[in-house]
Amino acid sequence: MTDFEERVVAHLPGLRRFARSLCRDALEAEDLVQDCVARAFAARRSFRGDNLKAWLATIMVNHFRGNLRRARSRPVMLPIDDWQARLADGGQGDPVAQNRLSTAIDQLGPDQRVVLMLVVVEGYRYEEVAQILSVPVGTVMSRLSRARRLLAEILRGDNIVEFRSRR
Amino acid sequence: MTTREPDPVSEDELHAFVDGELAPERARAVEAWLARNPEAAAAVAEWRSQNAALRQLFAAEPARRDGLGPAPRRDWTAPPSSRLRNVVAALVLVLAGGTAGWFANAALAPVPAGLAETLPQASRANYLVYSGEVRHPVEVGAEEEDHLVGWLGKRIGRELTAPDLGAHGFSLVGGRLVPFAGKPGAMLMYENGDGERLTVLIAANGAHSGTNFRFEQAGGVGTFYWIDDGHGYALSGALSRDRLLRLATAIHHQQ
Repeated sequence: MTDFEERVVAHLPGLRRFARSLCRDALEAEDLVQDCVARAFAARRSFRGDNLKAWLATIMVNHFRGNLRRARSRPVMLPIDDWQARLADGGQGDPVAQNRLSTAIDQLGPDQRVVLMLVVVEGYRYEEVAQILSVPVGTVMSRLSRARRLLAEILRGDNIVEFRSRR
Repeated sequence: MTTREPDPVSEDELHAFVDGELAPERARAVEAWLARNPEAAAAVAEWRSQNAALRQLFAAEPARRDGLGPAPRRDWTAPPSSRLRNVVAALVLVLAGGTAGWFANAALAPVPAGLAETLPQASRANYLVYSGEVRHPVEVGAEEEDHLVGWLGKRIGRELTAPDLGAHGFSLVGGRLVPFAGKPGAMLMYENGDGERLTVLIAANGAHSGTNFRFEQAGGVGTFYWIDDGHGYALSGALSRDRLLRLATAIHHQQ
């Protein structure tokens, strides 16, 4: 591996987490990581050398959006051993609550989802998110606000349905 | 009652408060303001619990996928230690025809510029992304070889046979569908007793009929690639060029 490739590969765990937070299923996320790394290798000359993590995140977001444009109606698949693994890991929270959360974030619009994950899971500052997405900070804020309100509504609505169905 | 009303708190500031982006002084002011505004305080509490739940939901991902956590393993996976040692890979791409004659022939047709850039890079990325996987290096394991080659072949539009590299000490781990230039490609993975892995990428490329055999190496990773009959082939691995060439030749003879 070249130095550059080694540095990219060092970001693989983070890239996988980010991809999983954007995608509806594990296979789609793996494809996204793969596309992102291939693109990064091909585009290395355009990397200016200041923040590799954010540069990779930019590539991943662009691929994610491109994939959405190409295949909006891709069926959702959840490999069964994903859930087995999640359960086997243990200590990672209530699987039922996590399933509900996964379902809820799948209902967010892609722009809202990207901003929410960059801020909350990846820990970028608002200004960095604005740079990654090439939008003004105000747009980041309005997407974040919508994402949080919508997520709260979905989770609340989900609760009500569940209580009713038990009666 | 204070004589001076504190600055009004905007919703943007509430988000910034939750995400830790406010200066400490302003954060204290917002905290005090929230104590007097229960509705806003409830929203803030809800966003905070969302944050915690989202972080927990995705926290386990990287550890599981890199063999650093207690990932369950299947029969065909090598010990994680050897896997991690061999994260560097080589990719060899081999195509049909007698090797010597084929080299001579193919020299007349250079690899098209666009594909020459993307094929070895995609193959290399495949190798680097998947050869380190402990739990999911492949989608379908070698124990289902018939199903594997049938399925991958159908997806890439080509009858596929998995090359037998047993004479070189490598056995088939399995395969997966990978994206290549916006189309499905087939990746086959091989492993030897030392935990060294190889990946073979086969992808449809309708625009080009045939090209010569190319080798690329950077760091410890070698890639052989070529195009034949509308399909691109690439073999990558962290082996010497000579070993990769022998493996590429073996694959080439079997296609």
